[in-house]
Amino acid sequence: MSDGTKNFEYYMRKADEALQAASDMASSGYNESAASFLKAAELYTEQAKLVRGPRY
Amino acid sequence: MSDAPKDFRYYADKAEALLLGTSELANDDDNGARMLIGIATVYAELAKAAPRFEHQTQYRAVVIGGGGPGDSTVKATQLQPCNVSLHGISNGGYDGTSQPCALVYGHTGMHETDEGVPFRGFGTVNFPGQGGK
Repeated sequence: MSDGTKNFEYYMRKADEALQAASDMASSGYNESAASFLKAAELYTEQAKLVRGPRY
Repeated sequence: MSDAPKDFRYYADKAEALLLGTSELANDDDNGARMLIGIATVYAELAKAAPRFEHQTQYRAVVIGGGGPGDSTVKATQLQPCNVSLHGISNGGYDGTSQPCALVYGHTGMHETDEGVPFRGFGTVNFPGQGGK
């Protein structure tokens, strides 16, 4: 596995985890915490796309 | 959470499930609904970036007529779906561009058509939508 692929999967997994946490927070009514996790997920997603490159 | 890479469908399904939940929340909790929409939006972005582990139809050349290698009565070949997924291929994996179908080997080591007629000459088939080398 290339480093690029590994990093892409890492950021995708982190984004998924952050979104799951945001969803759990939102469903419990903690919208501010959910917003923080959502912001983190957005950043992880952007990073995943950057690492993967323009080809995809 | 598994470390295995997720297919785009995983993220797309998550986005869809959240959007379904949004419609139920919309009347009671506007902020919560907005939050779910935001989460679903990011899941949709992940789906766009994620790899696609699609099962694609494979094709193989099938000899029409003739009795085997060197048989001058062979009239033509045609492509037929193999019904083998990319994950079902055990002869070295998928190289991303072209891939011969999973072949049926007889006792002679030769390939066989669906009718059991042995012949040689199977090559790599470029499938629809895939560029050749």
